[in-house]
Amino acid sequence: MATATFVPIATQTLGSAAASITFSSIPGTYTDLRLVLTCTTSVSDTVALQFNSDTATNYSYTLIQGTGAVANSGNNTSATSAYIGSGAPTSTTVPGMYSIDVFSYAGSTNKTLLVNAAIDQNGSGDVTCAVCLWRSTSAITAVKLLLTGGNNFATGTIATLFGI
Amino acid sequence: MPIAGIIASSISGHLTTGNFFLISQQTLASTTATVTFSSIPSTYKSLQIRYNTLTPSVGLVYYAQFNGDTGNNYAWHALTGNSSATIAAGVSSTNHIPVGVWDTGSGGATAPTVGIVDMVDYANTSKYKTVKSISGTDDNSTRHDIDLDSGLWLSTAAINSISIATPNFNAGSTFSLYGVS
Repeated sequence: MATATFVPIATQTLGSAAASITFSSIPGTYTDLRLVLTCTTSVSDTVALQFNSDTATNYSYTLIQGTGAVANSGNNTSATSAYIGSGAPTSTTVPGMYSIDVFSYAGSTNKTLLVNAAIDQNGSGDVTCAVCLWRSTSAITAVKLLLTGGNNFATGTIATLFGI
Repeated sequence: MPIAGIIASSISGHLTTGNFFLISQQTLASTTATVTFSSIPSTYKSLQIRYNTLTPSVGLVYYAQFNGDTGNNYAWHALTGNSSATIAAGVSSTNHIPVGVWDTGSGGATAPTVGIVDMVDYANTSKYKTVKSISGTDDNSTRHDIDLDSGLWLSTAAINSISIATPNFNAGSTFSLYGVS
């Protein structure tokens, strides 16, 4: 049988509220990365991601989203972060779930990622899929999760990085 | 009890995943229209293809066929977001399953198109085969699509070969086939 892959590289569980979660020194030995986030926040905010500390306008994204009975699609260009999901729940018992696949992260082309976000608050919320581009040919060695409004991830938020 | 890797690889959870295996990986050395994985062992529960591609052309669809079957033995549904609209479509009795974006822009040489294709119970000889995929591309300009596709291959044969085709994949495009035990 072939060699097993899909390996947990690191997990972070917040012991106190934090504005961001960073995975650094990511080895370049896998083909893809999978980042899974289960979070709550103190104030509803948009979850986003940056690579290698790049805060310049090198990100873009396109999404499809279902909110209640409405489906919509949108995009943004030349953004300062990659969109992961909107409206992270503020209840400490209703987490939002986000799954991010980063393809050929150690390669020399620009980097494309796929996002699944599930946010349901028993009467509000959304389901979102998105594709994001980071216009950089650098290998990804660090991933930072953040909230674009500057709010904090709540205690108990969990992020796990897998190598595939 | 181990959690199936196909679930772990689809959406979420904080999981231990020792049952996800790389079967084969192809990185294209030159421009290629069709990528084929053949002699796929039947020893897994599910298969997953992950791809990172560049393309020279516009208006592309990536499509899959199994076991060399080019007949009208496929059906599919698609849900697409292209930034300005959401589009749903379905086709029956056709000769392929789409597994990649329906872009109409021109940034394919620098903005990779990526996708994940899942084939569950692919070796079962008493059922047709259902496929689901998510794919997308965004070039920070006019080329942007996110797609969810479902497909059915109306065959009870075990899948032993998978082809993914488009007018051309650029050199450097990568396709990985994984088995989930």
